Amino acid sequence: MFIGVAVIAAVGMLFSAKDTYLKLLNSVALVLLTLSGGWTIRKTLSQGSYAYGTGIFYWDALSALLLGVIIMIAVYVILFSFGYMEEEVHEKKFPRTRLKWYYFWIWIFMATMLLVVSTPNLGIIWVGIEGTTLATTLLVGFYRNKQAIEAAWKYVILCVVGISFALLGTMLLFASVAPLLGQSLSALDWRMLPKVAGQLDPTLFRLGALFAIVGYGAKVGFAPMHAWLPDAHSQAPSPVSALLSAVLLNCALYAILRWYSFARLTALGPDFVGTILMSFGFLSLALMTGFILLQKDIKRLLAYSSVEHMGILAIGFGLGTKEAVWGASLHLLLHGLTKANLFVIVGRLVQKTGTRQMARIRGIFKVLPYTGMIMVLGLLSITGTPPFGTFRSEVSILSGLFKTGHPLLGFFSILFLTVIFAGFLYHFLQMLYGKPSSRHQPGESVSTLALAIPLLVVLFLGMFIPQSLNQALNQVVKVILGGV
Amino acid sequence: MIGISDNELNLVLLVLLVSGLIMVYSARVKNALNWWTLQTVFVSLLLIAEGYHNHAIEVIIFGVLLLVAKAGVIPILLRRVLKESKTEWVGEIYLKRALSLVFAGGLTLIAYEVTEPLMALHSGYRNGLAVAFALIFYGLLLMMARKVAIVQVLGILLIDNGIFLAGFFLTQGMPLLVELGAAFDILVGIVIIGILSKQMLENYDSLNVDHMRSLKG
Repeated sequence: MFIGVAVIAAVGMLFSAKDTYLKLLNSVALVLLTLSGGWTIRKTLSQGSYAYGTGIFYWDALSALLLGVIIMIAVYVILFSFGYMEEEVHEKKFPRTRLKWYYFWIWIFMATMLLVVSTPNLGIIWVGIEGTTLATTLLVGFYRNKQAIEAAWKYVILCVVGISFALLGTMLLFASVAPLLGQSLSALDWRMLPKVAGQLDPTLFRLGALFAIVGYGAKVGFAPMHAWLPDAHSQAPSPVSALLSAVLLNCALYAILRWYSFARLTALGPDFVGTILMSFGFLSLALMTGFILLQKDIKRLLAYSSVEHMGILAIGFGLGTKEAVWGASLHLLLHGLTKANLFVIVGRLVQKTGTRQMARIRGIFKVLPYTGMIMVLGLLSITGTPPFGTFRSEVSILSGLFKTGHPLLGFFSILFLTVIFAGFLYHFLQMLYGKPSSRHQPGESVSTLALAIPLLVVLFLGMFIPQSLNQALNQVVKVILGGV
Repeated sequence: MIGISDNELNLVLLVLLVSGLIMVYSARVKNALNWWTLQTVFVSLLLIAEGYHNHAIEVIIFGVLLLVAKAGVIPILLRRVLKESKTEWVGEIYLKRALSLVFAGGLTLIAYEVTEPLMALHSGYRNGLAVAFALIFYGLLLMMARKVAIVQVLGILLIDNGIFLAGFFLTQGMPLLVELGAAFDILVGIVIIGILSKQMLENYDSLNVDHMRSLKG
């Protein structure tokens, strides 16, 4: 039903001639989305799963987690968009008439992501993920300048090719499942797959799983397929960067997790996909360390940090121990919140200072004190510093590495994370202190602090995890590991 | 299963493979596009023949839709972009055409090699599956070795045909909903790429991707 809300909202945007209508329509759509989505999540978590419309739509704890992340971040980012895009229009970045197209594509993007997490069918998930690429291409290239178009082009070409490999993987899966479950749509239903997983042909399935993970992995941004990611994230309007980084990557990861959860039951054994995930994860973490240290552009810095965090998630899920998967599920939520907040606050900063070059941003505390405060919170959260929640989730992932007998991997992961922390600290401190350039107009209102809500949630979750959330996360672990 | 004899099937496969090779060898984008269109017509006909044989009306309808959308709408769209951008040359920088053909030959062998383990399951479709994988590899080759944006799109379209064929021979048709979704996605994708290349023209005055080197590090 919320998919319907998103589609109707998207079409409605095109007919909203006036700004006030646009804002009104967006707000109504957000309220409806939150209500229907929240209701679905509650229902799903209390019953363990929830089917709608004879099983065309189906949610379990994992879908509910993703649904929650999508809705929370969408509300935050779209509300921020109002002021931000207004300012961009003022600065003549694009004509006012194109504002409605911005919201149109945002809501189409929302609809495709909601479809991905609401369907129990791996084929439809593929259609949805491909849809997210198409919906965001024109958002990435929204400013229509040379760099934006270059980024959009790289993005669409790389992701479409990557995703088409995932289609090939899905076909190979279908070829191996169809003799067992019949030539129908339900053969790709992930509720059915665990029942026949043990009998799947290993050769066919191995090839299929490889294609699917590499294909979706390109969309998640695993190194070495991450080339599109920093370009797209740095050139898109900042609210879009926030959505891309905080939800889109998670949605692609969700597709991999669906494959992973039944691949564990096949003849290939539980470790086959897990090992691939861990290799991608570790490679991403290792490579990004260098990029983060040497970065000059603040939005690219955040983009590379997203790749790094996707790597951490992949290690956590790939390990497959209860504790690590619990940590990774929590980290998925916390990274989403943190990164959305950082992109939003950095987007504002870039708008005020007029540059993305970190070397030219100085003395934030003097000119924009509240923005500076939020950036400190963001810095601590993104690097996994206690008492933020990200510390807790990263520790439970990393301790999994040691417990399962990968002390060397564990050691290097901690080393890389420490270096990344140093890199972030260096970049941020340079921007926060120093002599501000005269171009900045000093002063901002206290209401800026309202933008820090997601980070405060992350901080809160670091000190106290409510019983209901813990139960939900345990349900997610059960879904992924198959009732262990 | 498909309703045409092995000989005829092999003939169709030959057309598909050769049209792929000619695309790799083409010096002009327009020729490559025409050969891709021909290839797509044959792929759709294969689907329609199967639907006719199995008396599956929905498969026939889907085949016809595919014929109209992929062999009709996409070439028209791309031809318009080509005309506006005055693009003719495919932009062979790294690999000259003759050498590309040699590479493509090698890739065909690899395609046979890769599909070897799958053959035990579907002995009747040995060539079909291998040709499908060969087309996917040609598409990748085109995307990497050519410098004109539209040729990269042709690479994607070639990969798309290859994947479609692979699905056809592996599974005798995916669930219709997924097939429809996939076809719709590629159509929308081409429209969006068309819009994007128009914006690219406004900014760069050409569709050569060599200009796009500003984003690094």
